[in-house]
Amino acid sequence: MDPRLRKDSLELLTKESERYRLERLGLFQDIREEAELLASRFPPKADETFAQWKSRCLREYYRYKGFSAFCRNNIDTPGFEMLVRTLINTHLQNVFNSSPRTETDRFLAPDSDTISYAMPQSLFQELYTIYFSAMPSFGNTSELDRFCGNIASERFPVDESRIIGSLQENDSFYWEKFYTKLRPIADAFSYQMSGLSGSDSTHDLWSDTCISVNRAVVERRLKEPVDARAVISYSVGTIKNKNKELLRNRAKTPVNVDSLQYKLSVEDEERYFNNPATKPENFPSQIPSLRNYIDYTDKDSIQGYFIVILYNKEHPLHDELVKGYEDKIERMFEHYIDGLSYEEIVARHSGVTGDKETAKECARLRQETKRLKKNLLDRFHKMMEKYR
Amino acid sequence: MNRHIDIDTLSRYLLNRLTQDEETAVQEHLRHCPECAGRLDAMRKLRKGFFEDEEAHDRKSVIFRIVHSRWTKVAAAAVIVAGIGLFTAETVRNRSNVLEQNEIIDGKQIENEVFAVDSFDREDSLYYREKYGDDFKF
Repeated sequence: MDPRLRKDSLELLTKESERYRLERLGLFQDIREEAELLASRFPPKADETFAQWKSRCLREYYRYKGFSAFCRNNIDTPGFEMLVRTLINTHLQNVFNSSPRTETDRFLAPDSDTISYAMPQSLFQELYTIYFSAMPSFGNTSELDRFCGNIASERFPVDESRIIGSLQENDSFYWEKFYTKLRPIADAFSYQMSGLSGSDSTHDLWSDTCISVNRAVVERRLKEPVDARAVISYSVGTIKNKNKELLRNRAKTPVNVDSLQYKLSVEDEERYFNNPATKPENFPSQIPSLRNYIDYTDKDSIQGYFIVILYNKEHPLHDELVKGYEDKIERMFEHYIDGLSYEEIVARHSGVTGDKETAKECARLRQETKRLKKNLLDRFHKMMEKYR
Repeated sequence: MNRHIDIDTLSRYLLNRLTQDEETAVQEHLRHCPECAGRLDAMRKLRKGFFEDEEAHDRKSVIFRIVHSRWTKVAAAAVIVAGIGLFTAETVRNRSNVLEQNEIIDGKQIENEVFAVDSFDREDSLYYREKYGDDFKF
């Protein structure tokens, strides 16, 4: 068999397995054997382009493997559910990136994030029951992917009323996003009104605001009908109120708290949301969120992004991740990427001779690599929280 | 395609973030470009080394040790013997229980009698307390 065809088949199936978790779900055991099978049974025809061959050979391969029955048998397994969730989330990210910003997102979601195109677990369960309990038939992975894409485009963006309802039900998924949204706004207002700068000094003000907005919405104290604008207006009003209280305490001169405006006026909006200086994304404390790149609910996505940051020296977060470990990482790369054994790495770097010394050095390197892996992963998890 | 794939696109390929068409274009490029294929391979190897090798090794070694242990075989034999014994004993006990249950007097009747005694005591106590005051000891 042409080695190039074997290599192409292996890459096709490796990507399919990475994207659709085929090996883990149990469609096949050994990817190399499957690549051999694909190459021998479905080779390219003389007049076919690569794209045409890829499309045909995968279609025929999945028919041969009984993909449709495989999906039916796995529809109730957690692994399959997780795959569907990941596929929908990937489509949602694409839809979000190509759609105009919704009013709900404008008022409730952090600047680089979305609430309208986000899928909490409860919503996913609802959609999974609606769309998958009827046992749809998928001849191949592309059909499954398209099906998930249709769910993303049909069911999203989520209605504003539903999101408000979830906030009133104290759904932590939406509240967490809204709290993140409030952070730079609290910073900007505090800086303008009280001269406070830096997240440490505004932390109390922000967290008090979060608590009081949460209580007001959950206890239905906002005037009906409640919408996204009403929630942000109330929040801005609370931030202003707290800043005035701060000023009053500081100056010891009474301020008429009743005169505070609780509705976000058009002027306010222009002033605080469209003004380049106070736009949340321009505020110094605002850091790009990793949410755009990582699906925090998916282990594969987290692991994949960790590898991308670790390997790509041009990545903005690479230096922060590897700081202090540069030399050790080089040796770890030699082991994992170049495939050198610990003995070979020791021989290359330290020039230690003698069996006993080499064995000791190898044991040390093995321990060091193990520790390094743990330290890097710990650091990455901290970074994920920091840039969430 | 003569130029190399930029690292960002290659990363997105690894993370399954490309569209189907973009993915096919990258795969077509990888067929002719050993350098890009090498970089992708490096990321995959790194991922495997970091997350898969040790998990697989640990899993294999633990399962291997459990399955091939002499104690596992002894424990399996003991469970089978105990199971047979338990099954036999339970069958015998159930037979005698059924016989005993047939001879029991009506359970509801006994329950009513107990309730009657309890309520009599309580009502009596209230009556005497009302009549002679709270100090009355029944």
